[in-house]
Amino acid sequence: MPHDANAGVAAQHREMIGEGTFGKVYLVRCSSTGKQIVLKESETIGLSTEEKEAMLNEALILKRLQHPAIIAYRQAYIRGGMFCIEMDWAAGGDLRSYIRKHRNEKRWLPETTVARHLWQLTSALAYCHKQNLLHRDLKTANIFLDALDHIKVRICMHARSSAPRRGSPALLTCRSWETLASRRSCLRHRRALAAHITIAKAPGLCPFTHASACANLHPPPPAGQGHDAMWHPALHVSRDVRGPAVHQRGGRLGTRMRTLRADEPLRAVG
Amino acid sequence: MSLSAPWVEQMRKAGDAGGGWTRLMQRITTETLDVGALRGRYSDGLLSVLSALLTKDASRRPALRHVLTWPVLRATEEAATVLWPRAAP
Repeated sequence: MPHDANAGVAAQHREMIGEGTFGKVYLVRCSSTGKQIVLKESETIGLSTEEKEAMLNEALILKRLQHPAIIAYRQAYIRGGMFCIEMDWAAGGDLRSYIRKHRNEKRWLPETTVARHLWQLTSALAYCHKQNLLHRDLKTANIFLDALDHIKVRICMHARSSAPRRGSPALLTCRSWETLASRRSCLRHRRALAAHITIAKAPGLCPFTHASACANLHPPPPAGQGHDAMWHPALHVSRDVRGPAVHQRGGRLGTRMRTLRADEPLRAVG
Repeated sequence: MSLSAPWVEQMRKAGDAGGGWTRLMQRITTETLDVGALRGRYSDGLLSVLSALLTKDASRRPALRHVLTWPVLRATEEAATVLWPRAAP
């Protein structure tokens, strides 16, 4: 499994701010810049190589999402058996606490604040939808505020794409393809599986992220294999979805779709 | 249904068969939200945005990109464009 023992931020101060089944979350102050960032660590012990690569590639897809109202993912890597994601720190806390605080103080939010938050949140979600990404866990606990009281939406790793269709670009799911393959009876998961692997094989290079190119690159599905079938224009996979087969198919897509080499540092992207 | 009491009351009935989150979700999905309690606090424009976003008929619910163009949010957009040059979705 490719990894980088020296990857990640050089921490000057590290404080745990959250813990759960996913791992631990730390607030880290970078020794070089002095800037605070959030470091999320999850254990990779027991995961297969494909699972680890899938986790990294999903993080890389999130890294490509760049919007001022979305919490930016800085980098992802595996270090010391831990899968690490670095992301920006929202100093203002989450919207749930913000609303609760006002409610306890019996203070109404000013209309200008409501309108501004609404516009920023709508803008972020519209951007996600333009990327064919569905949040799937939108709630006040996942909406944060920065130090200037601007909205920062946290895109969870279990956000997923809308169903693949003609022209659908970056498709995302947090579940590893093994998990999805074990649930092949679920058509939606099968769709996400194929699409996820498609994008995972081509971080930053997928031609399907460009909507203008989609019309030419995505031919209509073959007869009898419409949107209800396991069909994706980038893969031309059959109904029988198996990971290795899909990987091989993905490798044939040409120079614009590349496969990560075994010795390639997965964090070196973007 | 309004934004105030019924929501809280439903949550307090968590032990009852007809209360709790299940009942609350039923009310959300079957009843219409009354934003009348908010009149006087917020402008009609903002309340109309809220009502539109909560429309149960998906075909009548506005797209997010369309919501961004509504007048009540225009001023916010202009301010945001100054702060965020890349904010336009």
